[in-house]
Amino acid sequence: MSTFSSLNTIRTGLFGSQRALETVGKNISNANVKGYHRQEVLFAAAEPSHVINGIGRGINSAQVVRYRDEFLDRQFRARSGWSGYYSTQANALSEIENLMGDLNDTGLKASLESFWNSWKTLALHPSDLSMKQGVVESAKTLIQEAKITFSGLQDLRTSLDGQLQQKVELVNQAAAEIASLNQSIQVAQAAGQEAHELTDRRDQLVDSLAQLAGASAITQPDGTTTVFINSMSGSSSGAFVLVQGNTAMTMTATQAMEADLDPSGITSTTQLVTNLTYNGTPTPWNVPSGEIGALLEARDQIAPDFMQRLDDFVRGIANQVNSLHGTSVDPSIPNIFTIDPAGTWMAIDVNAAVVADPSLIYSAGTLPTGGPPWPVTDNGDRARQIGALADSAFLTMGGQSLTGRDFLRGLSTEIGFAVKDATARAEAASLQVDQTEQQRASVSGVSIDEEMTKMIQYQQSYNAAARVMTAVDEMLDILINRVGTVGR
Amino acid sequence: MRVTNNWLVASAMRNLNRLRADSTKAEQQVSTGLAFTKMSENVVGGSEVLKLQHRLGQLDTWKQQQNDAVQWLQASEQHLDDMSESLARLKELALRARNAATEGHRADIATEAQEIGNHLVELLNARNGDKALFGGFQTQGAPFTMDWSTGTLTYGGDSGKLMRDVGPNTTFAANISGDQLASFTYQDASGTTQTGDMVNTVFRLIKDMIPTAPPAGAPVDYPPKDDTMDRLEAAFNQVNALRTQVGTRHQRITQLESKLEDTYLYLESAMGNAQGADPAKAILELEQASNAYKAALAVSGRTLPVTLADFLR
Repeated sequence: MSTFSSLNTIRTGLFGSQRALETVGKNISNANVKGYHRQEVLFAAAEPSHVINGIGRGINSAQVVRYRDEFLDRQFRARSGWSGYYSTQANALSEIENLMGDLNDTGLKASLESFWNSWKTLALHPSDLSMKQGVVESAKTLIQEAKITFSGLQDLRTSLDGQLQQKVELVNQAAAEIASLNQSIQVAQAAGQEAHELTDRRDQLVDSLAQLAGASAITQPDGTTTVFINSMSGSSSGAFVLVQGNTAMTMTATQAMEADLDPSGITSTTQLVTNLTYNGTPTPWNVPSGEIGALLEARDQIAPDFMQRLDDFVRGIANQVNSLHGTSVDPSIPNIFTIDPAGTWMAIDVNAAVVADPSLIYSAGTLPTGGPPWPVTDNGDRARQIGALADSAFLTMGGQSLTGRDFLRGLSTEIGFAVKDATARAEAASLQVDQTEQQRASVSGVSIDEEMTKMIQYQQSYNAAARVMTAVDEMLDILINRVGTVGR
Repeated sequence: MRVTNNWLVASAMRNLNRLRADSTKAEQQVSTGLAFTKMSENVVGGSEVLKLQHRLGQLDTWKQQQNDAVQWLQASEQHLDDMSESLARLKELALRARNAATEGHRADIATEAQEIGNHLVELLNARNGDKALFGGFQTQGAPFTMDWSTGTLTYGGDSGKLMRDVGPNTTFAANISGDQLASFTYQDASGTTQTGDMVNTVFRLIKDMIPTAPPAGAPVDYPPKDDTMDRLEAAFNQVNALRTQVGTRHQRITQLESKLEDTYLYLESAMGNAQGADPAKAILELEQASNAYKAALAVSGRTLPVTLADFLR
């Protein structure tokens, strides 16, 4: 062993400590960066040189490792997919609850009640024009309130559709970035370089895809990652590839007519909604998880379902009232409501003729002998019968016969349960996400205390190495400058 | 377990958020006085609240119907009372006419009878507000017209019943129609059942008493026919029977009213139980939640800012 070689050995120690300190600096500065995984320089004793008596040659500090737990990553993604799904669903349902689930005696419930009451009051004064006017006004309010609720649901669908477009755009952006990161990482790894920062970014993007669409990822031996999205089409479920190597597929959000989405064939030409296609394939596919999954479900199933039942409700009432006060009773008695026979949602109104002339309302129980104007009488039996519909179970929901009031209560209760359920699930899912995130933080996060300790450790080892170098330097000084000077 | 800074921050944040949500909820309960304001917060309770609201609404409509029915029944009762009194007076007059000493006396009695007759027609045409009381469904104008020259009373109304829903599955007719009043059955001298009407009976009575009216060859102390007395009695009974009917209905409604009042109080308190927050409990919870929040803040404030860096020279 030569004295010079020990200089070299110490140099590796100095450089190693320096690199370790650099890494400590990097960890500390990234301590709060989302998605950053702590790094550490792995030291190994350098292989001994066989030429020089097998004594070690210092340290090797070639490898910087990045701490991550693949299992936790996978768990985090699965959970954040469900968390995204349930929290989005809970939001959409809360909107519906605001529209239909209020506990105050206002809105549709109150207007239904005052509609029935207006008939009951008319029964007390059957020939009083102002009471007939009252019936017309309350009928108009009932229809209006139902339409306000309905258009609230329509607005909700439109806004869900807008959100869907945005999320799809985010998915496309993330997929494209992952594809390009895949390429860079592959190149870097081939060149034998570390690409930890790129990998951090890529992992973060996959995390966001998991939340958006329930995506999962597999890392390939060449360093690239393949991203899948689970899909369901009817009863068959599978997964399609979103990113593979440096290629990303694109999701497109195109617009289709509502009729395409609604199997019951109820048409409304004014409603445009978005249909999803995958990489140009127009087959509608379904994402069962993630925010997109929840948006699709809320837009295409939950909201239309409530719209349908709101329509059932108004249609049921209009038909029942017309069956007691309409042309089916006697050709000279006008219908109270005009109902679009084509079945378009909410195409129900108060008969314009009755609105224009409320005296056309016929309150008597007996059939008229001629047309209007009706003879003045205190027979209010027909109005009484219609008022009594308030407590008559003529509407059906889920195979059950219900009164109008109970129908609305049923809707409120249902939406209440749905919101409660979705909120509880969203909370549970987000708790799980938090826990996994904490576990991940435990593995990958930066601990300032730990870094400080390491800083002291590497600083000291740097100082020690420098001291050794000084000692060797002094040895060499003695050897070079003092040896052979005897007798000078 | 490796505790990292992000771990500490995330955990502190999560706990603070949760405690803050708790204390906000308690705060809301105290300030609104309601245990919940949204269906999803308590679905079973919310459904109960809607049911109670509905029942309270029902009570209001029954109340409205009851008030209207009571109005009709009270007016009917009052006018039937009057009729009954007038008929009682007529009976008295008829008896006096029998024993009247002179035709002059009988003529005086006949004049009073005539007045009572007019009064009876007025009572029959009485109104409840702007509606004829005894006209059935025909409440415009006067249902009865009396022609004193021929002694015929014509009823222009019908037998319509003004039905009022005054309670759960309870429907009453609020009126007595004129046909029930004007016609009644009685048995004549030969024992056969005859149909008569109140005013015509009075007319007969007057005719019986007026001196110019007696048939030829009748004795001077011409008494009212026995038949007339029977008819008078039958009319009196009819009016009293109807009065009892109306009275019974009125009483039934009064009972219902007080029962509904009880129900109303019960429902109000049930509503309070279903949705109202227990103030003592809510305030205690608020206190608890805000203490927990403060404690968590204190702990986070102590642990978060400290690192090894603080102790390095």
